[in-house]
Amino acid sequence: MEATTASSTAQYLTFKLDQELFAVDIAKVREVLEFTSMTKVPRTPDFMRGVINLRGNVVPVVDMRLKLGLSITEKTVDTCVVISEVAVDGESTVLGALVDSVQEVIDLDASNVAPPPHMGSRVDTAVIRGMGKRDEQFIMILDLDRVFTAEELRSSSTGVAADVSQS
Amino acid sequence: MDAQELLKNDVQQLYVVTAELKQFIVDSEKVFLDAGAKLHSLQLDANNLLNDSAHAIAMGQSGHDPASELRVELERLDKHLNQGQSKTERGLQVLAGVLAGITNLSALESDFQTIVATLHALASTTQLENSRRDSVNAGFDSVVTDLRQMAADIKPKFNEVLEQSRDVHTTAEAGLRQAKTFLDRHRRDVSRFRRETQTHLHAMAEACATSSVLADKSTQSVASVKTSIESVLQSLQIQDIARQMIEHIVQDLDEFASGAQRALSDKKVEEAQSWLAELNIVARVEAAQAANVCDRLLSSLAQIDGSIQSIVATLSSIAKESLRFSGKSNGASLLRSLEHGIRGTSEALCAHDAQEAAMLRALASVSTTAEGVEALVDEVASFGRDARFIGLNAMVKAVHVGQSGVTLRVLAREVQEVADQIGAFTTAAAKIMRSVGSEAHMLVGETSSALDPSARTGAAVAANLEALMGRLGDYQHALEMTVDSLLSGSAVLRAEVSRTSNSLHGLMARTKGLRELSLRLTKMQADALVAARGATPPAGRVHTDDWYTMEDERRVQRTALGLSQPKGEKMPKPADASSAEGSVEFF
Repeated sequence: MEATTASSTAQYLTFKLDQELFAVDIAKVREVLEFTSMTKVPRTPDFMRGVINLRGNVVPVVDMRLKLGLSITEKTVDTCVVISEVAVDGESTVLGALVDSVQEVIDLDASNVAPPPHMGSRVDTAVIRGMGKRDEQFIMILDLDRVFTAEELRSSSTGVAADVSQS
Repeated sequence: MDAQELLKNDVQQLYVVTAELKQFIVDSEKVFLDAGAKLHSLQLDANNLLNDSAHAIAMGQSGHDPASELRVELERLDKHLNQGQSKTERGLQVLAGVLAGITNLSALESDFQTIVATLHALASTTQLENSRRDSVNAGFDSVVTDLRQMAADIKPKFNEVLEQSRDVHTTAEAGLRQAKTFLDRHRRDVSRFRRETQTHLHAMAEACATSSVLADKSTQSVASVKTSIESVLQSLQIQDIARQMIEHIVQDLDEFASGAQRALSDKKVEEAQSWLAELNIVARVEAAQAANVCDRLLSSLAQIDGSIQSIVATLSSIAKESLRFSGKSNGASLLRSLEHGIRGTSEALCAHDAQEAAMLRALASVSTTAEGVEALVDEVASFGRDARFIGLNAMVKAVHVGQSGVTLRVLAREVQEVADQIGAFTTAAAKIMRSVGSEAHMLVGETSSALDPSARTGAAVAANLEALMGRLGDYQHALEMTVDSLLSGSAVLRAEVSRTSNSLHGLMARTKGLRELSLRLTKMQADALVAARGATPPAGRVHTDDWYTMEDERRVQRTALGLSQPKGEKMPKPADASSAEGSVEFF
């Protein structure tokens, strides 16, 4: 693990997946959108729910619940898409992360961020950057760059690009 | 007057008597045939009464027990009234809740005005802050635009919410007044319906008991009528036998009259006297037989008359009960008063239902209006979500700017707080309106589908009561028709019987006259013969009214008169006379 040892305060965007509280570094977040409609793309993994039109750009949307091994995200009035920039092989890729609800932007001091546990978490600990503590509540801080493997992203991007070019 | 003149006179009188007897046969035949026809008609009426009674029993008791039906209907009515009361009381609670909710919603107005002012202030502050920064902060322009747009959009929506809330308030107030009025009336109606219910049940029980007694009496009466008719038919058979006997007597008298007439025509005075002497013997016996026959006929007629009177008395009793039951004679009868009472209850029930329906329409109107406000509140709630996104994205932008975006981060937090306020406001308003809408909606739903399927509406109970009264009316009508028919039939019959009886009494008098004539004739003959031959008539036999046998009479007369039996002429034989006398004994 790395980065969680930083001594400064960092800002995180918190969100919920299946009643669990997660967070991502706000530096990775571009903006938060209300989940309205989405275009499904064939021959893509299940967690790839489709694409949205973000000011003329095609942005793939990933179901974070499916990606983390949970059940599929059901659409509610709170369902949001967190537009993020993911670095893969040094290349920046814009992705939409579908989450149950976005909570708030919080400040977390590095001292309140613990290393991820080796066992006992409901998700693969490889994608957890650390465990934040706030008001006696744990927040799983995800490393978005690790959530998606390069291969997955390539296949997703390829599939999307191919389908978009066909259309 | 010489003997021949006397004989002629006697023969003439004999013809008169014979003619009277013939007429008697004709008259009695006619009277008895008429009586038989009338009795047959009475028998048919009695059978109809039996059928009608059976029908009435089946209709009134086994197939459709009106008392049980009425009880079931009134129990349903009671359930309906109870449900109506609980629904109305619940409606009052709901309406009170609606009014309180609308009041609370109105109280949120000042909070909302603050929100709108805050949105404007934040937009201005953000714009000001943005203008102090370099081009890096240009992304905040969209935040300012979004905030101002939101402030502009949210205000009319909220005003619309308030306006519709006032409508709901007005509707709810009207509904509340209506519900209170209805509840007051409902309580009075319930008290009245329950009181009337008891009255109707008592009346119906009495009517059913009377109906049952009536049906029993009808059945008994029919049996009595049948017995009486059988008795009368037996009397008619006796009359038939009597008629045959009188015909036989007339035949004898005809024969004697013809013989005497012939002898007189041939100037055979002695032979004619012999015929008349023999006639005197026979006439006495046959006059006795005729009198006996008349007595028997009178006795039969008296029996018929008694039976008819008994039938008429029974029918009158039934008719009296029937009239009391049906109320044909007066307005205070059981059925009439029950019908009147039930009609009154039915009308009141329909009026009650109409009031209840009006009240429920008012509640439905509240529900509909509340649903409109609820939809508006949902729209306002979407502004809260939008404000939240604006705040979050402003925060993301501010963080991206770094240290120079600290002020903007503060502004972004304030936008988020406003979003939270809008969220809280809309949540509170939506909660109020959803509560109002769901309560009113539930109440309307409860109304459209009765809680207990056995509890009918007042109109349904009223319709069933009307149908029940219709069936009772049919029963009453059938009963009245039967009783009318029986009464008129029995009255006619009784008059006929009375007329027949009078006629027979007249015949009886004439028969007695015949007997007296016979005795007078005998005396005259005997006196004439004694004067002519110096013979002594048998003392104390001829002049007495005592009955003795025909053989005795023949012997005495022959001895006294010294007459021989006429030759070549058919004469009544003593054995015939004896058999005639035996026929009298047959009666």
